[in-house]
Amino acid sequence: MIQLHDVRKTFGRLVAVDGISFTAPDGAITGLVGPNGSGKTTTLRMLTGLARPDRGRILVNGINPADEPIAARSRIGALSDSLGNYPRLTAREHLRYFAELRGVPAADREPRIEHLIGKFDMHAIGDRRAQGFSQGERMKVALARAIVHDPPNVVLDEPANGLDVHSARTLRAVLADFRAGGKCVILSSHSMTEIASLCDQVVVISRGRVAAQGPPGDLLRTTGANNLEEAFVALTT
Amino acid sequence: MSQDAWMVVCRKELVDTLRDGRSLVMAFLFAWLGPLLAAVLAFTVPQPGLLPAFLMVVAFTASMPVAIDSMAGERERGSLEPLLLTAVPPGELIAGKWLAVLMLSLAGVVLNLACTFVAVHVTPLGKLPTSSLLWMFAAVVPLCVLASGAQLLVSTFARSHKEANSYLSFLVLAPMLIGILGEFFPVRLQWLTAMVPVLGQQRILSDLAHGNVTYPPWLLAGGVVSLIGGLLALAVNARLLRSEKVVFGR
Repeated sequence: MIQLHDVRKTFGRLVAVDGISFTAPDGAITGLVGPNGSGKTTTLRMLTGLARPDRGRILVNGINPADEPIAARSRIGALSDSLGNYPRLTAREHLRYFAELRGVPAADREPRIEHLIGKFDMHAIGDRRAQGFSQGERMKVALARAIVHDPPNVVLDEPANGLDVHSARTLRAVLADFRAGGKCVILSSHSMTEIASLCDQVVVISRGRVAAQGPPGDLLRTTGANNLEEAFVALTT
Repeated sequence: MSQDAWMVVCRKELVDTLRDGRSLVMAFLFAWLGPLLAAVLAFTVPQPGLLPAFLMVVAFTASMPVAIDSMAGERERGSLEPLLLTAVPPGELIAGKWLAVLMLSLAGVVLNLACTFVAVHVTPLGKLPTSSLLWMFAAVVPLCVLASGAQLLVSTFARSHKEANSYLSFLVLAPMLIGILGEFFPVRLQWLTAMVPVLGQQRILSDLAHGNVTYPPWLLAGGVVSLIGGLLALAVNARLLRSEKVVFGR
């Protein structure tokens, strides 16, 4: 479970996040939506301790990432907006590298890598070096390496970017599996269709603040909108 | 978290570097070019004093590509953030990367000394005993530690691959200029001189290249200062990786 209470973050005079509070429970997918520059990525970076809040408290399974970033990160599988691959390593080598760094036991490592290669349909690129990978292929590798250690919390920043229809469907299935497996999932996305079909609750962020939060149905009722996209526009303008 | 994460990082950096053939060829250019030049000149005017300059330069150039790629390159291609998210402490990440940089630097030095060994045996370069080459290796190892630590630190500080390349090219000027100027305008080797990084090594290496015997305490003093410098650079580097400005660029 991930909890945020009154979290604020500034960069000089710019207030990026201004008192955000929400709880992402286990066994549920929490959608984080907001216009560009609304503070989503900064919020996600604070969850992993890569950025430190100026005020407020974050708890990842009871651990404050600002005080114990390494302990918090070990309980999170995070896909950041940086998809960087190593051009001279193959997709399989990427997964092996991150599995080793994540401390996946040697006996479980190769089966886990093969499982992810199969899950994200990476057979064709498994032994190909990442130089020249398409955006979708880079995304698949980044996604697979983020969850290679089977973490209890999964934080994904725009995971469907560049994925083809088949891969996007696979991603949705993977996220549904995570929910069924009791994991806490936070999903940042600009795709309202994806958010509406996947998320148990939605947190709408606008100008660094929580504009609304609740199940998608509640947001529709509150705004009187017909769909989530209209509700989003109503809440963020 | 894996207990040997630094070894995993080091191995990955070495594999990555060894697959970049073109950079590797350029990195090791000075390793054989110096002894070759000295060997060619030996048939007209023997210049054993050139050997220390090239030896010190190669300690810096052999490791430069991996130093740039493993920090500035890592951030530029967007792989630094995912790497930090693996929950490996920054100190371990830096240690692994530094070890890879150091190994490349040492490989360059060994290749240079091997080429020098061949050069002194097939040309009239001078009678440089094998023991002198071993002493030269001992003198230059701490310089490799300092060079790899400093290069990695500069690479972390640089905002891009290009910027790191520019800074590190300037850094190579230190062994290059001191190596050449030190030969033509020699400073007397004493305790203080021996303890100045690069200068101390140049004086000791020059003595050895001219067939003189070195005074081990000076070699040790210079080595300890360089080792401390290298380790200090590592500690600063690990701290830098905790800075948001450094991780996300400025």
